[in-house]
Amino acid sequence: MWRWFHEWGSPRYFYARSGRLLPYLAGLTLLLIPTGIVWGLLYAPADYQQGHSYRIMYVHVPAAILAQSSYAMMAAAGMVSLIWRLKLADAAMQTAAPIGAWVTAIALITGALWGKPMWGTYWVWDARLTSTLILLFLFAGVLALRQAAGPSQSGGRAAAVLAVVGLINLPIIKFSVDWWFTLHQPASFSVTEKPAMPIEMWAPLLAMVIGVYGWFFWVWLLRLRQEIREREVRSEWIRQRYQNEF
Amino acid sequence: MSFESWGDFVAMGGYAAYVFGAYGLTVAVGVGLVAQVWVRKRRWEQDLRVQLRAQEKQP
Repeated sequence: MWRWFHEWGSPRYFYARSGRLLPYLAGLTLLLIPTGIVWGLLYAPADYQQGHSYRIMYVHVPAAILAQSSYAMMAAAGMVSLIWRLKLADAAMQTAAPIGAWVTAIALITGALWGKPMWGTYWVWDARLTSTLILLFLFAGVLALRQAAGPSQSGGRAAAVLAVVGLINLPIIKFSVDWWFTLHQPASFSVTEKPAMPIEMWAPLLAMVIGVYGWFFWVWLLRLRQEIREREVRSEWIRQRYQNEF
Repeated sequence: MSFESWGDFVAMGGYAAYVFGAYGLTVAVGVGLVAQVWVRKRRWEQDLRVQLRAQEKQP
């Protein structure tokens, strides 16, 4: 177990092994996201109350779920970087932050675009929306701290501490609709409960949720592998690899 | 298809700007983030190629 952990902590080992996953993740993304979009936009039935505006759900809900998961993953990488001082964990945290920030921004903007026709306003300072906005600020904070520090380890540690402390916001986002009276509806999608929607409505949503996870891990691995190349550019194994290619 | 015609689909029940705006933004960011890392990799490879050639020319 420890040997496995240490092997995967080595940038060279990780770089070699992770490359094999890329075609599968790209395939999953390119299969499920277009399927989910076409299914959600064209074939899912209209909602009896919200009409066709509810189709925004097929991009908003996956983005909102992924925003929280990507934060948890970033914080886990930050924790590993703090405890074991693994350079790879620091790179994993640094490369997850911008993707998570963009995904959170999409969740907020698509939510606003859904809110305007349904609530009559793009934004309300309700608990779910406000805690998700805080999530965006946390991503931005981690990103800014990590980038400002450059290659210094102390900057990486400060960003990791912020990422770990920010974890407290995740249960607040999740339970905000239960703890406070909010305009936001309860969760549309749960892995433990039977969906309230008919299958024609939730099947495209499931395709989109799995598809965006595939996309996230694809983009994150692409960025992480590029970060490894840049950090290890003076290493013999990178130079040899490219010397053969050029 | 849950629409009577393509015209109905484009109108999206009067919510076209919101629905297509949300999908357009999501797809643009999704494709943009993949393109960004691809461009970064290409630039890095070009720089490395120049460095490696310069090293080879050195006696």
